[in-house]
Amino acid sequence: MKLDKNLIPGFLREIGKDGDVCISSRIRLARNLENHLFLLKASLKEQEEIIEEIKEVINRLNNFQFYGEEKLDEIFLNYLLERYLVSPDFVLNKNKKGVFIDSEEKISIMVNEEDHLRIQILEGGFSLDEIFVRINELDDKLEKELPYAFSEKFGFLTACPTNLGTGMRATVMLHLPGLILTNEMEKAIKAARSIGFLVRGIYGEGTKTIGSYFQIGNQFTIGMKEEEIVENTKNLIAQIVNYERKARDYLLKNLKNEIEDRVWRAYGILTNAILLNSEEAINLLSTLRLGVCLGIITKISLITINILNILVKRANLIYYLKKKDLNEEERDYRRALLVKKVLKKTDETNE
Amino acid sequence: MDEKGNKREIAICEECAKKRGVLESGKTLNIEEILKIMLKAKEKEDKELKCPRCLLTFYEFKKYGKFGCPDCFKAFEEKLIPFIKKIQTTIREKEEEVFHKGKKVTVGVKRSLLLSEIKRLKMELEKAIREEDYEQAAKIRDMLKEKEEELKKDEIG
Repeated sequence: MKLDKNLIPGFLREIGKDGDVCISSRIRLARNLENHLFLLKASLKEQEEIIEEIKEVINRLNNFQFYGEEKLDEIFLNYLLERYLVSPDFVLNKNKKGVFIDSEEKISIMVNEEDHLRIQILEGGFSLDEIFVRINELDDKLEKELPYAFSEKFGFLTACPTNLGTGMRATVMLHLPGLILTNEMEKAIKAARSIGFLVRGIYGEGTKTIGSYFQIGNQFTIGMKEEEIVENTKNLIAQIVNYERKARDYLLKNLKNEIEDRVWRAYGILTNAILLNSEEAINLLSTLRLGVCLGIITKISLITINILNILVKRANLIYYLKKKDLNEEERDYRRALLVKKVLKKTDETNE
Repeated sequence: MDEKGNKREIAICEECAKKRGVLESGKTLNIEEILKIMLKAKEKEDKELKCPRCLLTFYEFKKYGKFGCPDCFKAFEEKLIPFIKKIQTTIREKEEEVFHKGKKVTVGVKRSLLLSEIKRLKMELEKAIREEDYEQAAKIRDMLKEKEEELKKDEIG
């Protein structure tokens, strides 16, 4: 079975620059409105007013889809989280909230997450420069219509002091199995943290790491220009990419049998298991991804792995199957079936 | 140590401590006792520093780690500058303070507030007319006129 790549968000439909290590890049801006209290103090009524005001402007300027309260049930919120279009805080907080998403699923604007506005753009691969240009344009456009809270000293005023100034976080989602397998990851995390970078799990702040995926981005937001933040982040990421490739080379040269064994065992389970939970699937697909990058497996594309990575997650599987009433075991069964079909077919047709 | 992270040394002997009221007479000097008193005083100060717009105190800001509104920054400015330096840089020893160097808004805050207020009033005016509430519509029209004049003045200025 061949899956349509339009099943996943636009930024995962292509393998971008340095795509062997960099899954995707993201920049987000935190913004607030001068004429409203922040979410710690805003009443539910005021939170609704904030949504209305922002909606009026964004609907006029852009062609984004808006999802409000009535659409955002638990499953849909998690569906968006699994697609990296909203944050864990957006899923969990009790605010009146809404989110704008572009048709390609590369841009999302969360309203009433921790700040009134969280604007983010995602792209495949290592592409912070392109994103920076585009998010700046979008931000400038919105700034002309929305009364952003701003001060000369502190910059864009944000609910949390850790976002003050530029309100900008530039993050790259990295796949680092080489560093994990050579026991170098901890060293890399320590080094990155010591120079002011955040290393986080699969969905960012406070989330755990699965499948050797890490989000690395700038910690500090004030005291430097946006361009400097992008440049510094790029420099660090380039070094980590290098480091990861060296680790993979080492594995291939010195532990060839062990690595091939690991990859083919992952393939074996993915193509034969009867039940698969989502975490196990992501972990095995991660090993398969390494196998594809190392040339051990040649008949599966990275895009296929990107598609499966999204579809095996709980809420996305539910949406894909259009079956909300499956219990956990039924889901594990259907998940295993889907993975099996996709990987085996890819095998035969030499995609 | 004060809020700015500056150390201030005060020499206290039992005698002075009693005079300053730091120590109750009859008690002997006790370091723990002094620290407790100093912390209490600091807490009291933080609880009294309050944002006039959203009523968040500096004490609450430290407790939640979040601001309540855009005016908090003015209200807490003095205490914020060293605080931001502490959490937003790894180079703590450096003397200089950390301020915004990035992009700025192009539309002034006052102007953008006026613009958004005008937009809101226009929407309300339409609604009032739609609902045939002409008394309300007249009121809104007056307010709108006022705001538009203010905006014009702002443009000339």
